[in-house]
Amino acid sequence: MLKLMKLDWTAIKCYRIRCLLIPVALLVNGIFSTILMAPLGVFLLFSFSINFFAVEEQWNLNRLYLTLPVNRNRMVVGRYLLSLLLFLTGVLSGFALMPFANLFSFSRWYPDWKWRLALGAFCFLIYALMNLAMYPVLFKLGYQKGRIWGYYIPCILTGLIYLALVEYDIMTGGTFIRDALLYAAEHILTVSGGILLLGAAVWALSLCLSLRIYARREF
Amino acid sequence: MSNAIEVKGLCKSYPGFALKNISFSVPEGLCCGFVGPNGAGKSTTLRILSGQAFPDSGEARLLGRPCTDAALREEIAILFDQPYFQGDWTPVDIEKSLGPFYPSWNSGRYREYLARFGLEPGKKFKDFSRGMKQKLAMAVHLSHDTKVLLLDEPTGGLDPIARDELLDIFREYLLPENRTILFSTHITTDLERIADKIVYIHDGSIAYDGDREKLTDTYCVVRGWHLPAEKRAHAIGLRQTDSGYECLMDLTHIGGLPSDTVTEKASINDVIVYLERNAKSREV
Repeated sequence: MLKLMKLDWTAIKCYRIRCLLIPVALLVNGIFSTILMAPLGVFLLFSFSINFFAVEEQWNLNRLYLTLPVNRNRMVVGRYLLSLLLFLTGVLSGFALMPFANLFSFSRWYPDWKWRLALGAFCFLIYALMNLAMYPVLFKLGYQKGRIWGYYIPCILTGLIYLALVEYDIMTGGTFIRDALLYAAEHILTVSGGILLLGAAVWALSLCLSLRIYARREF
Repeated sequence: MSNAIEVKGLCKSYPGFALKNISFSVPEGLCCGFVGPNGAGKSTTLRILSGQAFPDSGEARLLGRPCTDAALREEIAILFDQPYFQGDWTPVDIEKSLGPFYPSWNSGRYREYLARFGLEPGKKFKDFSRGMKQKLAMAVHLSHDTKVLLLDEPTGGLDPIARDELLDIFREYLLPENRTILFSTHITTDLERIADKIVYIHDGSIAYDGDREKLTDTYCVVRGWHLPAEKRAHAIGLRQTDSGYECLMDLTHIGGLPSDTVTEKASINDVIVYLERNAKSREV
């Protein structure tokens, strides 16, 4: 599994330098709101993971990978584990840069460990949902055909859901989100645990779908 | 002698094409030429053997094991019409990426082959010529212990010198007795030099499966001014022009031809071309 992850990472040799832009983007975002740094880190690094599929298709690396003495299930699991590592990197980068952003941000946030856990759980749910939307489609169709349905459309839908949520909140007099946060604050560990479990279930569903799809894909 | 490659009753359908119940085997230690015109089913068969596609029915086995067995690929090498490496990888990156997957990987041997084939270890894969890319792929395959080499039109697009060099490498690969090659190509002149056995596929079905010399020793190319009527039934792929006729004929039927007839030994290419022509004229 580690060999496969290393192989995938080596394959995107030419794109790795783009990772250096992510801390910059996080700090720029931190100027406006430090609370969004971790979710943005997760979103950017997960979006970066689409390059594994892009490079695979550009150089037809599927035909190389299928000549290796590794079964298809391991290839899929290896890529999922690599994306999980990228998720952890995104979350930890966001938390690590938060103290710096708090020095100059318009909206500062000094959470305790419970709120960090809650935010981390929320980020994991975002990551799992993006994973479910993207990876099975990309494993099925490849990068060129899959990126529209597997990336752009889920991103647009996520944006629309966010806007709808904000609109609903405004319509209810600005109490919906506040009440949700108050509830979460009073039951933070339960809420965090619930979100983590939901995220894990979504991630597992995504993995199962991808395993099933890739096992029968022909090249 | 056991079979290194076995295909039994393989069927696979695509829109407009189908592999129709093909069966053949390649004993260990031989080089088998897998020939046929474009679209005959060679690449489809190779893709099934290499685990990239799945048959609708039938089975394909390599070294006695199902070809979908991932562990089998430690002993199988596959060379396509071009190798598939990431363009920015150098030979050093390729060793770092692929070497760990093969327990029998020999670093020293890999570097020797790089030196022998004139491949710069620090040069990017995309900057190599086509012939050098194929040699690099062979250097990778020769650096771990494989028993079967599947070749899918590896010499296509190469100049004669590069083809010759690559064929020498394949011949060298066969020196140990337990190694087998399945060489899929439509460049039959390559097979004249290396193949022990020929499997000829036409329109998804096996038309010939046997010894290379037997195939070419069975037929001859016949040319002349006028083909007697009683001989027309034995003419394969007959082509008649204002300057005469030419066809392929079984050696047992060439007796009784006019004295101005010229016969010459058929090559694999001649046999394939005339058989194909014959098949097309029957379809019309």
